[in-house]
Amino acid sequence: MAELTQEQLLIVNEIVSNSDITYSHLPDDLIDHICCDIESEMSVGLSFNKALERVQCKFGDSGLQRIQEDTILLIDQKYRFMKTTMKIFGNVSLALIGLGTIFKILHWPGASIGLSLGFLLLGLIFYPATILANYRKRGRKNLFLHILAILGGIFLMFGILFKIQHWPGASNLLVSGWGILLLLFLPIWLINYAIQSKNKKETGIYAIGVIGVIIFELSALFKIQHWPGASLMLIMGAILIVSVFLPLYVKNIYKKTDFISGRFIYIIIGISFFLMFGTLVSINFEKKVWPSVSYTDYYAQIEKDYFNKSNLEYFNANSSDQSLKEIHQKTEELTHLINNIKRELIVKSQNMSNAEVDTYLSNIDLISDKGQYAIVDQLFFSEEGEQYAKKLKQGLLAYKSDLIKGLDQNQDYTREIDHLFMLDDSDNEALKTWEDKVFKASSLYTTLIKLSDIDRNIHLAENLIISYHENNQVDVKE
Amino acid sequence: MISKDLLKGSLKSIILKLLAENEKMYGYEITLKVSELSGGKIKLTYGALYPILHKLENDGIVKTESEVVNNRNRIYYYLTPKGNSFAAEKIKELEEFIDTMGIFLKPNLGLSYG
Repeated sequence: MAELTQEQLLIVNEIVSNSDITYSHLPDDLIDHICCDIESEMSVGLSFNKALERVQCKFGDSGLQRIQEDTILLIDQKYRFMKTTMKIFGNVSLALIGLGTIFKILHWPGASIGLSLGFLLLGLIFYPATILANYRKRGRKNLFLHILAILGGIFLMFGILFKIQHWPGASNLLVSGWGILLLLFLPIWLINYAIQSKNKKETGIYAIGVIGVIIFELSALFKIQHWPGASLMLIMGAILIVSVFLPLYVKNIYKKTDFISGRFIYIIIGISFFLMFGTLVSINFEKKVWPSVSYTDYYAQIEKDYFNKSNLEYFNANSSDQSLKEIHQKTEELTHLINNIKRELIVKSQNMSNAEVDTYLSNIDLISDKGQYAIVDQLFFSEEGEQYAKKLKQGLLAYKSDLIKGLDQNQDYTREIDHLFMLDDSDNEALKTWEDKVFKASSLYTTLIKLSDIDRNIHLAENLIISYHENNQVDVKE
Repeated sequence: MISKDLLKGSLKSIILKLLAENEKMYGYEITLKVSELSGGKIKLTYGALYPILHKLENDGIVKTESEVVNNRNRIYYYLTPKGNSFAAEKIKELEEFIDTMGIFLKPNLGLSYG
């Protein structure tokens, strides 16, 4: 009888492994059986390809999978039960989530109940049942891997539900679910696969894919936590997936089979959605959250510059007025103090030289870890530190009273100045002082914004004083 | 060709009978033997054979051993001690079944010897 060559044997191997036959020694059974069949066909004079075709006709398109299904169904009563449960609960939960979403969009009552119930069924029944069925199908191997998949998936699903419903703890659930899947499940799966697989090239391709996914998804975490390097990771991950993994994978698939299967199309669509989703989330986060705040800082500085410019023009034109000169000197001193505080905040928190700070001062978005608290507390309140909170408040109080003194008790202007510097402590001692209210537990980022705000107000106040003087002089002339 | 419906309940017994007569057999060998003995009237498909074999293994009636033939693993099936008595039982059951069927197929059932 004809004997199959090594390459022909490999083709048969691929057919069986492509059908995802994993149960017990069924793959060996089927490979041997198919080979014997082919050999007997070839012994009557057929070529290998013709013989293979004829044998494939015998078990049909998805026939191998059906044999596996039949085998498991016959042996494992629980598997049958799980399959039925999966079908019912999968459909019900999807319908509930779908309806819940529609209700939510249209603001109809009952959306929360539908969504919660849908996610509950999906997360606690359908999903674990699917994983368990897979576990049994694969001959009860890799229990730990399946447990990780169940845990990570459940955390992730409930994280999404909690997020939609604005329940507390959503972020923790999301992060732990994502963490389990990315940092435990995927690497362990890959190692497992590498050990079992005989095809080194394919293992390499999957390794690239998995590493790409991990880098890509970690970048989202970095972005949310404002750790440095997020954008670089995002790009690297995407490049690894799109321009390294995908071409290699597609080439591999084309080599294996000369047709495009449904599974292949699913994988391509899946990857595009995955990349789009991740990128959009990152971009959205960057665009919406930080800049909406940092614009305040940007415009505060622009306004400050505008007032400063017009005030200076007036001072230069009226340099003889001694009282205005004094006021301008005080304004300069205060601005100087505020700028020094900002500078010191950035230098100390970012460990950079004084020369580099200017670019950061004009665009505070460049600061990588915006969420620091300790540095603000140390510089503003610490007994050993500069005690900037006290210094700033004293400076502002003196400045405010000087300005009001020069207004000759004009009610309107006094009220305006008062509004610009609301420095009062609360009468009630249990409540906080002004500096506590503004700077206690304030992050580096918001502190910088508040300081820019105060700086702007100082120049606006100076501008008000100038306009008072202008009007008064007109009055005098009349 | 004998129809699937008729065969369904008896396949297991046929396989057991073959295993009882041979020391050990692999899947393809079983299909070959069945086809040969039945003169091509019974064709055991992949889909019918392996679920039964795996079920028998799972129930402890047969055991397997692997052997490398032509660079591939060949799984041989053989009866366990428990399986031997079970096979005997099943074969007896099949014989009884055939005898009983025979009664129905006798000519002039219930009319003769009166």
